[in-house]
Amino acid sequence: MKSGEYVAIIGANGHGKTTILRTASGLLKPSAGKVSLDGEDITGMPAYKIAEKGLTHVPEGSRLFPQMTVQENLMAGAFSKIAWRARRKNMERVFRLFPNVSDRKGQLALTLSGGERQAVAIARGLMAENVKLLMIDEPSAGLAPLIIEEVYRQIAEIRKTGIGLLLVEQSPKWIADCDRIYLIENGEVRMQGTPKEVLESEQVMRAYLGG
Amino acid sequence: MVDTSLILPPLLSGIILGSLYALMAMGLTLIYSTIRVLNFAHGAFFMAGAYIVWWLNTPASALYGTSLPTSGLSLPLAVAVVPAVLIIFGLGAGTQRAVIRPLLKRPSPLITTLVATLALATILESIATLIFGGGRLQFANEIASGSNRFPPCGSSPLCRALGGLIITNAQLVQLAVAVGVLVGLQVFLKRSRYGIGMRAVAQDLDAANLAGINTETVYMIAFGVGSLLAALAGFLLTNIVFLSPSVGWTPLTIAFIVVVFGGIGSVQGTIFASYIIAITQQYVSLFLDTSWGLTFAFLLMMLVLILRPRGLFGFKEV
Repeated sequence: MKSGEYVAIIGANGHGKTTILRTASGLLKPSAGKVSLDGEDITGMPAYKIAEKGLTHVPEGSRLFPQMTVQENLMAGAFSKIAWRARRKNMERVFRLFPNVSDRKGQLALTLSGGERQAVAIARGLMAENVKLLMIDEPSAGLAPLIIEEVYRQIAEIRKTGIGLLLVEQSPKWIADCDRIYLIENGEVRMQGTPKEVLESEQVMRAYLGG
Repeated sequence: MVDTSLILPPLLSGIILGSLYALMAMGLTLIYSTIRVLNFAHGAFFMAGAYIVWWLNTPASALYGTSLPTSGLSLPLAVAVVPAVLIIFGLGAGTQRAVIRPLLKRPSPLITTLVATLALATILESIATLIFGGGRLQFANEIASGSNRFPPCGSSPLCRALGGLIITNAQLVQLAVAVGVLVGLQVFLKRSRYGIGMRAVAQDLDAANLAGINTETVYMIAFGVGSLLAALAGFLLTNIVFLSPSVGWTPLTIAFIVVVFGGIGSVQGTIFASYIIAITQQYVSLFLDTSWGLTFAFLLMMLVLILRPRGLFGFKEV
């Protein structure tokens, strides 16, 4: 990926989209292949080191810390020494991007609505200092269409700041404005191209409709 | 009229004892909820911390005619407790790094770590016996003597109605230190980098890893801080009674009761349960023999578990 690029991975359930993200972020060790960031080989590094280098992963289903307040959840995203020192500045920055998160900062995460949780999860990912690439796993999962629109409006805001985005989605509906799409099937890239090329292709329709 | 002297003094001593239980049990909760290790060496850290304070504090002249070692420094207790707590912090963090961490990567870590900490407890107990002998030791204690009447109003009618509570200097120190440390611990857990990290790891390990938290270091700090709390409780409790190599087992048992009773992993539950158990124990031993206190604590725990299987404050795991 080029810096600041917006790339999406699509594919049906259970075909390895999430595994790609988990491998890139250090939760899983690849049996073969290489993960690199800005030319540096980060394969097999512990997750916290990878996050420190600016590659953060927002897991599917937001995965907030339920018994912690929104503010504490954000502080947890600023764990590295540098990020911790800059946590107040970064929190303000994040609150400007997500005014709805700011309104809830004293609330326990478990009391939030689905859309708010997703926003806090993305905000937590941005609390690491110098985020270069934000990977978001199915930001639309389990949300109502109206809420998804709001989430994608916020994702568009993040894109304007120059941070690279790697999104995983099942439905191509929300990612029509990205730079590139990869279609994953059985853990392999089946197809890649601009959204227009991929979405108009017959193969994609088959992958989705099982035809 | 009800005799208030039967009601208030056990309540007061229960509150003081409960604060010490809370100190001990919080250490266990911290270690369990972040690392998922049932630390059977917790009582041994309680004991070891107390021995270190004793070694630094007791003047050689107090041991005339025995071969027991002291540092000869006869540091004041308030000073002696600092290195003791730091050493036990290091011992706890080192245990996590050297003993627990390798086991966590293998099958059935809950059992293997349990047995490993049990072994560590036995080793520490043997070392203490080797150095200090198996007998009971006492602190040559500058805070053990002296007491205050509470409220400090002499023999006025109000005072007598309150039962004219007696609180010893040692109890005052216990209460102040325990409550102070518990409050400090809350601030640590809510504000500090490692406190937040510990809570995050306890609530969702994967998400904590992705949030950029260095979980291995968090584990070490959690084990260190947990052990440090045991050491502090050890000094505060044994300083007014006695010290022996096996002195940590009863507090360990009580801490386990408290943790299960309050709801495993719950901070508020642990603190609340500490006071309930301690106060119950005090009232029971007022009417029955002292040894019944622990039995009743067990009964109380079983009753709560029948009614609320996750303990008083236990929350459902999501």
